Amino acid sequence: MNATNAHYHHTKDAIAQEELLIKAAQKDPKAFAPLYDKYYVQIFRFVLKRLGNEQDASDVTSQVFVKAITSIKKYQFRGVPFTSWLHMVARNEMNLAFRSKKYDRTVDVKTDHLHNIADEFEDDNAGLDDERLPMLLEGISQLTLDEIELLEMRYFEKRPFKEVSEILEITESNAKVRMHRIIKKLKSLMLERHGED
Amino acid sequence: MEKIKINIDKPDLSDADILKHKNFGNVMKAVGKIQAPWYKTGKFWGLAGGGITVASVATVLIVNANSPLVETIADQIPPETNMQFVEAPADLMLTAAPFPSEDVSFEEFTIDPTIDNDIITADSSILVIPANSILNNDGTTATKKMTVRFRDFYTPYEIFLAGIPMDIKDQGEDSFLESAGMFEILAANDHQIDPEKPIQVLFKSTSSDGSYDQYSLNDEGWNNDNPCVTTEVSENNTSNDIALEVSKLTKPEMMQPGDHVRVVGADDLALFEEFNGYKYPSFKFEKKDAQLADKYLIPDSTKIERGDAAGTYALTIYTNGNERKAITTIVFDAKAHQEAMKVFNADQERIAEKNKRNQQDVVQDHSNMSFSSLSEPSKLILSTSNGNFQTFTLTRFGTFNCDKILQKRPKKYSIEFASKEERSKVKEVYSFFPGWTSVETKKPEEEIFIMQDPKSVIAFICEDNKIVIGTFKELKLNKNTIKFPQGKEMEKLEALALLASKI
Repeated sequence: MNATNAHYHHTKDAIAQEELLIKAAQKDPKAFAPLYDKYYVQIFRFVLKRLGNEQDASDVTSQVFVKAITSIKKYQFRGVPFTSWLHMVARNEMNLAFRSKKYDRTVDVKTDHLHNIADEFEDDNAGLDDERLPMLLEGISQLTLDEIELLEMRYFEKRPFKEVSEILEITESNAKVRMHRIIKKLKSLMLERHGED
Repeated sequence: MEKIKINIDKPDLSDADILKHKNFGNVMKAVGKIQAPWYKTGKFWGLAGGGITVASVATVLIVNANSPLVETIADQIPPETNMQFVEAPADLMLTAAPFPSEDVSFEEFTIDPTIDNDIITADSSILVIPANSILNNDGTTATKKMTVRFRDFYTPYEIFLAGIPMDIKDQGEDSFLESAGMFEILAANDHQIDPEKPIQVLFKSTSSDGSYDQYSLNDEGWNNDNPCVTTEVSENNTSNDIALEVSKLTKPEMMQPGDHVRVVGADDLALFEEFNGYKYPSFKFEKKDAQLADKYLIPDSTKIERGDAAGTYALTIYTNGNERKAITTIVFDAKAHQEAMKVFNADQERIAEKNKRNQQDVVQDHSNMSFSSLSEPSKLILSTSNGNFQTFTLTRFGTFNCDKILQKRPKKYSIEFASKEERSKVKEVYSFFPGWTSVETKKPEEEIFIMQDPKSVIAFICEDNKIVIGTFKELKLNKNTIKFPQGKEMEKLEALALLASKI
């Protein structure tokens, strides 16, 4: 699978330009406007996929940017791109929202994404048919929240491991190891289910 | 396990639908509610008028040299005096921000003027204000709490936003200055500095190049006061005024079973010198705050400051609109502790070795300034920083610059407009020279400097907050003229973002 996220990949020039914008925003919150314009849709989608409801996503996205503006002075470019930092802020805000029990955790899945996961099983029955699709969904629903989060970033949102690791504040190799274990777990859950049937 | 809802093949919302929710104004209102302390009241701003936008409240250290204390602006009691920053009428202002709402914001420090103060600014400059050095506007010594306002400028974009003129006459010819850092310092209520007791600004400059001079701005323009006076760290110093060797590291403590901890985030690590060098320290919470020892409950907006007691850190955590405070200490798990002890011991050995050789790092004083009364944090900054501190000795508040006159004299061009109407909508013209910390400001009817190397970028400020930006290529240089670029008019914020990226 080729994980791609156009927003994540920046040229050196683009990074340098963004640093100027960040520096301006660190001096004056109003100067955050261009960054807000640039990242609003991206963060809204990130939140919407996890909250499921457009209005809730709007409220939480606003809160994400309030937090980002009030804490941008703490942001320093040390290898973690600004986009990943913003996603970290969004993730923290959503975790707060889930803990308040005001919102349910939603996972937004496309059938294509499930096929991509099934391709990773590397067994003779590669591919999803009508029988295996519900089994895979059942397997996903049995994963822990942390596991689902990693799965959705990697397979449903197609983020590179580097970006996943930055958002989750873990190392890239740790993200890969965890992902490998999740795929293994899903495969084993599906086998179990197949045995039961 | 928490309830999870799985949506399969739910259609994606279009960008247009998402953009209907976008509202930066509402976000800024919410930011204002979080950040609006007492000094944002109309009374406080008084004569400052609408000219200056309050930006985020930087957490700053205000350190009294005799009794170090840590304070944030939000914790301070409003000063007893009527807080007004008296500024000149617009036609007499020395600076003219093209967009007052985008002007570079100030940091605010409230001090007790009867004691020695040294203040560390957000960009690590140090303001040294001796006791009783501030006078009231009637000439008596100020005794009530008072507020000092400070801002610095390091980029051409900031100089542009603040509307600071950079032009100067050099041997009768028009020239302009290139800055290695500039600052403005003001006091409320028209307080003045006692000329007998000048205040010192150890300004973090971007250069240690000896070719820069100190300039101050007055109503006649920039005045060359002195060569820049460097304050630096030296290994072979002969000064008697020796800075203490202070370990940057606190002795690592081992985490105990049952401790309530939360790993210190990567961003937090950068906040305090004493964390440097350690890997994986954790905040240890008191039992009563155990529920806060959860990284999910600690959002990025958490404010972390040094606590009153040595080795403690005060966390102010905002969750669901509530504010919780917790005092924490730093601990390490067994593996990280072992590593941290090695780092700490090596640091201790380094200090012992230095003392043995009696060759301490010292603050070299080229300005006959005494550093003996500086607080430990200020000494630490001076003795550990590789920054190029320039000492400014001030007998008045105002705008000061570490500058040199650009030797390269660019060619002047007049601007051609397609029509009188087009000409009449342009209010001011700014010429930038990418890579150089300077900007030239002219009226549209005047000639303006344009450089081919580095290639100039020109900003035309028009009516109704519109801006036209012309890159070198778009300016269509003729022998002595440039053409006003056509069809490039942009809204202010969009144009400012573009400009920030080009200069």
